[in-house]
Amino acid sequence: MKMKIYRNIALTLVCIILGVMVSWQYKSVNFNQKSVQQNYKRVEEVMDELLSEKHKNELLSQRLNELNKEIEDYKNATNAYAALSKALARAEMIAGLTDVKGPGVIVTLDNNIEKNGYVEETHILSVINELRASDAQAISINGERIVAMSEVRNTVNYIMINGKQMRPPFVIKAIADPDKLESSLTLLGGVKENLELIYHIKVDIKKSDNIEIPKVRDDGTVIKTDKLTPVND
Amino acid sequence: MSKKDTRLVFFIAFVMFGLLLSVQFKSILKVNSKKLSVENKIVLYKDQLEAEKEKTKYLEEQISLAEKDRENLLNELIESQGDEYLLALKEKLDRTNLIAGLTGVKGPGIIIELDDAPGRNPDNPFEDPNDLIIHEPDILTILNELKKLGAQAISINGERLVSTSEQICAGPTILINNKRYPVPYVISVIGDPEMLYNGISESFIVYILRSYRIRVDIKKSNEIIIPKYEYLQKDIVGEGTLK
Repeated sequence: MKMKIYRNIALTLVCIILGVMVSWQYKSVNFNQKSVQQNYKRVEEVMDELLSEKHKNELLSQRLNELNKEIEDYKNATNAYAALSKALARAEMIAGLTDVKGPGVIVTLDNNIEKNGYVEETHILSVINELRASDAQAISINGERIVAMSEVRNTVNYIMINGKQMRPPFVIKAIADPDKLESSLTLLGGVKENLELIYHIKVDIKKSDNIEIPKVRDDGTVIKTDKLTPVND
Repeated sequence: MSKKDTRLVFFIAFVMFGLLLSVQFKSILKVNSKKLSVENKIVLYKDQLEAEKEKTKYLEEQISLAEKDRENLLNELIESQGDEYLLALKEKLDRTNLIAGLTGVKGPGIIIELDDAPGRNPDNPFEDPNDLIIHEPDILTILNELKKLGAQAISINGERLVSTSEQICAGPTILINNKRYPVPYVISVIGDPEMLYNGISESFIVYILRSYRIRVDIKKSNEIIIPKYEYLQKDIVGEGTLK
């Protein structure tokens, strides 16, 4: 009789230990898997960073080569003209001081009066930013070149860009890889969908192989440099 | 319960026990080997990344040296030749570089420092944590306000804004000119300090951000230095798609 009780107690104990072990085991296996997954994620992050750094270095070495070539050119006057003109053309392009043409997209934003959707400055800003994010090299809105210091200003009756009054529709032209521009704008949950679904604005996107974008008005109203002193570091 | 039954139960229990042990052992071995290979990879990539960063630093130094060389050579050439056309061309280039953001500049202006809210509000547990961090549209709006107030040059965390600069929020960081920066965001602006300071302090966007306890610190300064635009896209550098 006594023997039987001991046996039962022992049996119960073994079963309890077994149960605890099973749950422990389950947890530990789960945990291990999670930590491995986290490590994989970290690998991906580091790899991304590495790739972008490599890409950057490629561009930098290319720039260095160009500079060295320019230095050679500046050693005699005839070559210096050409080199200087080339440097000037490049700077003018970045500054937005030349007319440019190339492939890209035309985005038209318009009010949707039936649905109470009106174009505002933030909508235009988000489109410009998205275009820049997809490496747009030149942008204009209703013929006004967008440069670094271009503002978009809401007023009651119109929107002002580069100090010029504008009314909808807003025709935004951008030069870059048309497919890249279009796909980044039309992404699910992207700018186009946001503007249409949340703000009820009419958005039309057209790809084009020949977009012309005018230079910025250089009449002292858009570009001001009186407060800037160059520093050579 | 007969002795035979008890033995059976014990037998089953021990078989399971053994099975468990072996499964556990195997899983740990497997995970360890995986972990090791993954960790090795991380170490490897990090070493490579370190090397690439060194290279970047070296290249950037070389580029700035080369730019100085070029400047000196050009000045010498103009002086020795006394060529007016060359001089005019160079002056035009200097002004264009200034407008394009290809020259470092200094001048009076303001510095804005933006940082996420310090933490949740203990009195309001239903607060959306999303409201407590700085988002892409906030930055875009602030920059646009600054441009309205006549800003002449802007940098974010030392990254000069040019006509093609994007600002993308990617998680807790921001991407500017293809470079990634964490909070706090320091926006340096050159322009009329009074106008910029008053205008931005009273702007709606700063009021909204402050109401969510996002830290907005605005300071006037007489000498703000904004570096030139460094990173150039391939297409603009070379004979790209532009005319």
